[in-house]
Amino acid sequence: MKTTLTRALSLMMAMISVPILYASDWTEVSRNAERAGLSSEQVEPFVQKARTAGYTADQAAQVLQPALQACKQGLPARSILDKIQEGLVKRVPAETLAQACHKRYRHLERATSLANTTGQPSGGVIYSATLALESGMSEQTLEKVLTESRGRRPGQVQAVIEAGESMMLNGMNENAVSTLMIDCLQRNLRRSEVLRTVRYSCQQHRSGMNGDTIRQSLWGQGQCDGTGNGQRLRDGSGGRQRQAMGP
Amino acid sequence: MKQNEPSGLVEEGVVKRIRESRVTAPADFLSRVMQRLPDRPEPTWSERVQICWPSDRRWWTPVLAGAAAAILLGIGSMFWQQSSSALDSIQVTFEMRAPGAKSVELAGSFNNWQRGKVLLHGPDATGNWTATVSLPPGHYEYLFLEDGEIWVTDPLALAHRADGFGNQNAILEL
Repeated sequence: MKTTLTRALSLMMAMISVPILYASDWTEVSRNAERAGLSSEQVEPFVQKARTAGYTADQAAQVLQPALQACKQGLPARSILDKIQEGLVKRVPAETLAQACHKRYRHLERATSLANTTGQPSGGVIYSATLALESGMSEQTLEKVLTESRGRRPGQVQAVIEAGESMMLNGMNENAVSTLMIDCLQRNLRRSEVLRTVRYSCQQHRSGMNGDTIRQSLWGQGQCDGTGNGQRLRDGSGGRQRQAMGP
Repeated sequence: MKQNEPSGLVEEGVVKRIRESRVTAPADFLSRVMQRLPDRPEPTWSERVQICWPSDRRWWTPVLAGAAAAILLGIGSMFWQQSSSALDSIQVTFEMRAPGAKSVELAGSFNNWQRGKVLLHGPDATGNWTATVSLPPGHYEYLFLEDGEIWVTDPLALAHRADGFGNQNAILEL
């Protein structure tokens, strides 16, 4: 009788202690995140979604770790937090998401370093540089573009980096992409003009035109001497309404 | 008879006597007096405001002027914000052909990958699903979600980038 009672009590204690331990681990995840500098508005939705996705507290901590590391180093962690959000919505396994976050952290570290050494420490520029590195743009290209962009508006630099990433993702040669990015900066193109350059270049690339010919057709004889003002582009009839169409 | 003296002469005499009896003040008299006087207290903010405030019962004049200015400023900034956001936003129509789908939704970096926020309408007679979204200029990644389960990329997007989870996010630049 006594043994049965003891067993029942032990079982009850075990049943009570499991959720307590579980909750305590999740509390620790939140506390660590807030200690690293994330706000409760950022942490609480993450914890809620991670629990809904079936992550353990340990897995959630692993997923969050690169973002916390970035915060502690003073790096803008938004790109990592966005990746976490994307992964949670897509219901990605915790290990896969943690790997993607670690990868993004590495690129964020490099992008921040490049942006700081070239005098472009804006959050937006670092964000787009991180994604560009992740998409395969080399550090040399990025450094060249960031050096050229000294003294320019962060919004303009960001647009040019994003343009470069899109052109590279379209399979254009990196040298051609790098030159076109610098052309855009030297010609002081606005965001809409940079976007037209990307669309036109990608279109011509798909039709088999090489980088030099694309530049020739874009800027005419001015090429990249820094004297042109992108007149041909401004006069063009680009900028059509974009429509995405499925298969 | 003194009583019969004209009054003008009497006054002159009095004035003359007073002038003769005048004592000249010492040279440091003024500075000593000023030293002994207590310091004038600094005016408080309410006293300063009162200086500018109308002394009679016209207190409502500055109050009404301030209120009118605040209302005009508020209305102006509201119109300015509305017009600038309307000018900045671009209408984008997303289309996906999925004749057999029960539902199609759109998620992307523009809405923090939230599900259930942008539902596509359809299918039409050709099996197309569409949704029009107003977005500010920027660089976005997105995917379609078919029947709440299958992530589908947009084959006609400007570019595609690997999401690190096995999908190819479509890229939209505005």
